[in-house]
Amino acid sequence: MRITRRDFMKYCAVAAGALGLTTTDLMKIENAMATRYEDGGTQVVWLNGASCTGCTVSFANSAYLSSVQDLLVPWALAAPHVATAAGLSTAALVDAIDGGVLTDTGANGPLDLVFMETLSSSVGHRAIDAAKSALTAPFVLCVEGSIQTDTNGDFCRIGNGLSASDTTTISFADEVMEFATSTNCVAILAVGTCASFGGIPAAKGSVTGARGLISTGKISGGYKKTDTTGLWDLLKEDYIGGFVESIEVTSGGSGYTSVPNVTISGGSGVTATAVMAGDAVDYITFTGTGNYTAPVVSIDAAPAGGVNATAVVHLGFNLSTGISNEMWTNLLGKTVCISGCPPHPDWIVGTIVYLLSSAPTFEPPLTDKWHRPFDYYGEYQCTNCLWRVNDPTSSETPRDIENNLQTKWTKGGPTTVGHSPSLYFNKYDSLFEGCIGILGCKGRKTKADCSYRRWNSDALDEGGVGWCVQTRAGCHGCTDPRYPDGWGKFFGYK
Amino acid sequence: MATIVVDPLTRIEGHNRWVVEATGANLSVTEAKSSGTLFRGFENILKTRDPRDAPQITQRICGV
Repeated sequence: MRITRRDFMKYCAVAAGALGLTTTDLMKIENAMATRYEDGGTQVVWLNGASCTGCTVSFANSAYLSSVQDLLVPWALAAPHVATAAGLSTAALVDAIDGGVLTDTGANGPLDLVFMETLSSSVGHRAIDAAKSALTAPFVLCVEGSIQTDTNGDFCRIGNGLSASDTTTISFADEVMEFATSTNCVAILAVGTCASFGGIPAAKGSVTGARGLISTGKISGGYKKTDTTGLWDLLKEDYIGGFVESIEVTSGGSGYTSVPNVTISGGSGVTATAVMAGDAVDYITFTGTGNYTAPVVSIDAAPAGGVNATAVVHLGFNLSTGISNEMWTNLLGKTVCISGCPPHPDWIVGTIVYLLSSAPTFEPPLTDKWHRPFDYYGEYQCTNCLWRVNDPTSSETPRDIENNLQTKWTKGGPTTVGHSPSLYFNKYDSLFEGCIGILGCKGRKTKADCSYRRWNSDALDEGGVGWCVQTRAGCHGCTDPRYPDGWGKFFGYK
Repeated sequence: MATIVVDPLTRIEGHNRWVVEATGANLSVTEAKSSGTLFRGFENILKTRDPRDAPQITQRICGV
């Protein structure tokens, strides 16, 4: 079963109407839907920045590997929670919503989609509450859209309030930082070329300083090799120390007769105060955020016969603070780029499923130097292109060519490199037959498996019905870090 | 005086923010603001490109 955006909206409307729900009831349902389901499923937080939402739409249209509904928390589990929160009988709710027929009666959905702006049924601060609730347990972070860094990230600001009257906002860059640098973030999926390599918002002429996590194809002013800094690399350059996010009391100690002083070394800007419970330290409050590298908390020793209290500082990072070398290594290690504009749904779903299959360690798949999984981005588009006309003077049989394209992937990279074939476009001057490199196809520079998988699959056991090159329009190279400016105009070869 | 903020707006493409202010005993609405909170600058990106590329770039404003 597939769920489209329209279907999802219809569920909400029909549910409300059929049950004669009041606004209050609808708000209760909204709250329940925003609640993280404790009964299982890997948490996923999907953040949107400078994006067009095309990657979300591609993901939502997944048909071949798995339908989105199969991945998300099934209604069979959601319905009882929702009914309880709204004070309704489960039977009435289930009947009204699904005509009495529930298909997902099996185990929990493997994904607990805690927050995804495009599909979230809650809005405003409640949606942000749901997103932040994911920070307390392991979660996979999906980032869609490029991250704009100029003017301190002000080109994209998102609400960050704690209540309906709280007007606080946070820049998208800082929001990504907050989730990515959390110790509970087990993997970061840069979904789409924008989040991976900058994409169109970062194209030549852009003024917002848009970047991908790993690399940035082109920045305003033209293409320079030195301008290809991704967000993680950029943040490592100007690290001034993280800000104090929280101070955790690891041991309250005992025997204190007065409130001990608390000092933090390794930086400045925070004044901390211990709060006692009897003769032990209960918790520590602080003012200011400061900047600290490798902070150490010192609490005055307890009087003779007592036990010293101890505490640790948890640091946060944002656009202004930069990131430490350790954090940079950590972020690079868990970032996987599923590039494409948009990426094929199979690539997104396949990578998510791969991650889930190794839970709770969440091993990322083998990736190339651009952090793209070899499974989907291992070969150039030409390898299975239908317009390819083999060199008639070569003694290679078609089977030879196929065999030569088999690659064996090891941790260091492919041991057998497939053809990066020199095109025959300069041998054929016809626009109507043979290789369409002459028409501007960038397939010879672009790695993706579109030629095998194709697009717009309708059924479980068939590939897609077509792909860009099949139309003789040519590949624009949308999975590549250099998209869209890497090789000049789309419809010419110079 | 009451302020109601809806940010982020969900189930849309892009980013939007609503702020409503209501004052007086009846809490009548005195201010209602809607803001698009993302700027990418497609016009700037399109400059000096081959015109045949324009539809391909501009269509990425929205992916729905």
